[in-house]
Amino acid sequence: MTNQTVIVSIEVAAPPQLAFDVFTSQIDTWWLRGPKHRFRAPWNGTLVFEPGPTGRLLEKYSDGTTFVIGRVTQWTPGERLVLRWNLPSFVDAESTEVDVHFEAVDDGTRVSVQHRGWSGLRDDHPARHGKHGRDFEYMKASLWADNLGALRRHIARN
Amino acid sequence: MNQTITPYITVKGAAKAIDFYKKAFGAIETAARYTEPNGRVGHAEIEIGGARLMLSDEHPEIEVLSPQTLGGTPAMFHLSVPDAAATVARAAAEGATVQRAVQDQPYGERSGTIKDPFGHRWMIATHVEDVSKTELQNRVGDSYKIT
Repeated sequence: MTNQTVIVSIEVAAPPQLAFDVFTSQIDTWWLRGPKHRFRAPWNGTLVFEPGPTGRLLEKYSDGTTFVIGRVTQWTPGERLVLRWNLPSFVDAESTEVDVHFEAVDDGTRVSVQHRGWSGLRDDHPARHGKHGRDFEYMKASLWADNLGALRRHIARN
Repeated sequence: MNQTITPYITVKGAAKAIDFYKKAFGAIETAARYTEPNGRVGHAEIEIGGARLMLSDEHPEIEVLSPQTLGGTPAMFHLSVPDAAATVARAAAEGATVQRAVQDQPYGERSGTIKDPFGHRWMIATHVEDVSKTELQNRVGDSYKIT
């Protein structure tokens, strides 16, 4: 987990504690839908965040199956959330880490995401979509940027 | 698809520049900011008065350079505000340099020009009257031909 990656951050109009609560408990509402952003076919799953220090982020499907995306490794409400993060294409020991910080700013909270640990994946790993280095970094970052934008809009509406 | 033009500026110290634009001009950071592990901002977006402005830190390896490195800027931003003098005073208090003090212009604006702490130039203006072409020609005399 030593390799560092681009940090994607956004300002949301809510104090850190509320931003943390919305990020976790309302994730299915704000996280973008469709194959680009959801995790497994048939792309109709519901995201469920089981809260707490041993919590998990799951996608549940209409046929009753589930996929575990994340396992919480740090749960500090209003400050920081760290998850072991897995994609359906990962095998065996493959895993990444998502580190989310919530920092008070003038008009709300800056939510920052660093998704790291990609260097452990082989060069032809399907999660790379054929991209490497800076191109790969910015591809992953843009997906987070899309979703953080959705979080910002969700909080602004509610 | 509609066409839209959006300025994309380079600043040495993008994070500080965003703070300056917030304090001086009431900017809102509207989209995700991309920050490299060394602190370099790869991309950010703000809105001032509903208009978008994109910015990043310098990326010398791809010739993305700021006015401070280039030794000047050929572009200027025109910012319409309710009270130009107040906005210029606020920008100056935040570290901008006043290049032309706010004064009434013959074309109906009260405006002044500043250089922000990152080398970008802004004309800060308030519309104060509608001026017809004829009246404008009278005011400027032989200095310009108004067409």
